[in-house]
Amino acid sequence: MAKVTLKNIVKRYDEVLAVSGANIDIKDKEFVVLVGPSGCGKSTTLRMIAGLEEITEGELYIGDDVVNDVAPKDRDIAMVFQNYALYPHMNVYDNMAFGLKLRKYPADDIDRRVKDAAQILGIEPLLDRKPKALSGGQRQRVAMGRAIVREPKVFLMDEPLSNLDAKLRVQMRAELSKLHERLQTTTIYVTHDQIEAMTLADRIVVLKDGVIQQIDDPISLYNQPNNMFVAGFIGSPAMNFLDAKIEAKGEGLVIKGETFEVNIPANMSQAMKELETYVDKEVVFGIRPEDIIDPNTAEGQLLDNADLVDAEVEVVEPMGSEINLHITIDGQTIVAIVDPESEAQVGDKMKFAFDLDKMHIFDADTEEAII
Amino acid sequence: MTITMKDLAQMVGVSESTVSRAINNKPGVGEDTRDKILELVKKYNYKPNQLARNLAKQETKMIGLILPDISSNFYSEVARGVQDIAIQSGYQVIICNSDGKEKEELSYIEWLESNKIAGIIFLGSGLVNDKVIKLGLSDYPIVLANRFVEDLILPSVIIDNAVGASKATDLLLKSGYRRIALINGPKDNLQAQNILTGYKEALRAYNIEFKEELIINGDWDRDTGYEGFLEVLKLTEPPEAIFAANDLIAVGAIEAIKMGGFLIPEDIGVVGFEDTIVTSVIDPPLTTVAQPMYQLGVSSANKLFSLINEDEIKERIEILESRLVVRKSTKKLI
Ligand SMILES: Nc1ncnc2c1ncn2[C@@H]1O[C@H](COP(=O)(O)OP(=O)(O)OP(=O)(O)O)[C@@H](O)[C@H]1O
Ligand SMILES: [Mg+2]
Repeated sequence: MAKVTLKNIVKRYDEVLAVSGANIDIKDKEFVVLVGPSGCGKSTTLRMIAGLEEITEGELYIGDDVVNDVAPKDRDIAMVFQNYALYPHMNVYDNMAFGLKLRKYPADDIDRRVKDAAQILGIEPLLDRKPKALSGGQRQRVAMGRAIVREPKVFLMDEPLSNLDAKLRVQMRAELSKLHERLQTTTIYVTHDQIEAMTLADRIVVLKDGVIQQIDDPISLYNQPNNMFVAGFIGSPAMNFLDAKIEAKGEGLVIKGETFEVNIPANMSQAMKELETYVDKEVVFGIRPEDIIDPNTAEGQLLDNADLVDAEVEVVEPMGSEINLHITIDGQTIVAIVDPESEAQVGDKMKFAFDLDKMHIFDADTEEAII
Repeated sequence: MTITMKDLAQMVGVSESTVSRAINNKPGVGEDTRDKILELVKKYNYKPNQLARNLAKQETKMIGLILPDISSNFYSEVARGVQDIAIQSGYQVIICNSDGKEKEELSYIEWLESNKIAGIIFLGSGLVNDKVIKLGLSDYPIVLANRFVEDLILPSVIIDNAVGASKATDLLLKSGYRRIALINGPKDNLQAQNILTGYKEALRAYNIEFKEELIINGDWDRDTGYEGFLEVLKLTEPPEAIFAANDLIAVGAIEAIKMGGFLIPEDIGVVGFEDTIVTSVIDPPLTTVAQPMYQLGVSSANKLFSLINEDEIKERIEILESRLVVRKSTKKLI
């Protein structure tokens, strides 16, 4: 087990800057997920840690040692890729054991490792089977087992579940979590699926165009995104953004769109302070779909004093336990999650309130979060 | 309207280099993005500048074959298979003897790559090194022949030795031999372990108890065969048949058996494994499990050319089975 530290890691391919100055401190036993859109540099970062890609600049530590020049096989890591190979002519036992056999580990040591891994993965009864007699999930487990028997300091996984169908992926996600709880091996995991990231990670690294946008635990990332990119990337359906302006009104401040105006409650003094310098400036108002309130079905004090906003219903999407309403405010379509009891119909003119405790305001130029 | 790479990049919201990578099937583009780009390419009938592509590629009509030692019968048979397919495709083969050393292999890879060789076949045994994994990840055409990789799937052709060993043992059992000694390679060698697995499987099918005393481990050479036979002869109950794990071991065992004045196959049956030229010239001609060496070369080369021509590959991992060749060193089936 080991910590992994990236210090100003840069990867340049001729004209492409794939990773620019990454700094990440991964603690021992931590499960860190790298997430971001296609081409943002996730795989490149992982492969540099694995030693399968040269580091252009910066230092990589595994434990306390700089490993930039250490060969992959001497880094004590195991990788799991999306395209895992199971040899069709070997049974499950040998599919996990052959690497150790070829490295000439003692037979009893191999046997212990394979049986331990099989037990952890719940595939003991399958050890004699050939891959063709296994389900997709069982095969994935065997591939995982091959990494486990190596007892590495660090697991590196590049979208290991993306070949599985949706249902199996959910199941394997849960198993991966349990597995990490048991083994406590430092894990660095790449995915472009933010739900996978949110459910698996101790901490998430959000990347865009080779630049780290934020490193945080899932809840903080969700509640306090650094900028509009993170705000829009994490969460599904995504956070809504409305162009607005901050204006002074009496003692207080208001957020003003073309057709809406909400007062910032007097008790939000911190927000007030941050926003003072933005008076009469353009900002972006961000609100998550679940923080938009339908006064017809909502209860409680949230609505006392809340400013209501006019909107028109464009699309009604029943999701079972809730309804996603696509509504137009100021000519911009946004999504609100409302109670399944709601009777909203397409074309209805309705009023909504925002849960301002949960609002986000971004600088319109830099897209950085103000609050 | 003619569409440019820039237009495609804008439509998908990626950089031009990503579009180019997607079109040229290079790494670093996610599947979804690649699909999106290729869909647009089709829709707008986008044609990349063919000349520029060829210039960038500029590969020679040569492929590399890295193997431990061409002077071994086994490897030269495989090489012949590779070469026959290469010639048909208008390519030459560069043979590189690595003596099974990683350092040699690495410098060959570097040389082959920098000379724009179209692809490489890695033939031998054991795990591939990290550089080969890197090549595989970069989509450079490579094929593994009888070599293994742990982390990811690479196009491979592999001979299933366990099945072959089981066929050999089964033949001896079918011919009426019951106590069968296995003279095998080193105990920690995967090939030797696979042979042992097949041997045990066949015994199990006949409900015959496995006896550790009948297993001899040594090197893959004639001495091991010779000494191995003398060793099992000392048992209170000597074996009725010998399963030799390669041809050289078989040759040594046959020498020892004849020296002892025993008749083959009446007193002692012998089955070999491999079927190189050696086996048909010794007396009596050896019954053996013929390893599909030539086929290993042919299949590996076919796979490599599919990769080079960007054709679809049917099986990423192809398993070849050995074939039994019955000659005179075993009794007629009963
Ligand atoms: N071998 C290479 N040569 C040149 N550019 C490359 C190479 N590999 C990757 N790139 C570029 O580096 C950038 C980062 O690629 P990378 O594969 O790390 O993305 P990713 O985040 O893993 O994306 P995906 O989700 O699509 O797998 C991309 O712009 C890609 O085109
Ligand atoms: Mg990737």
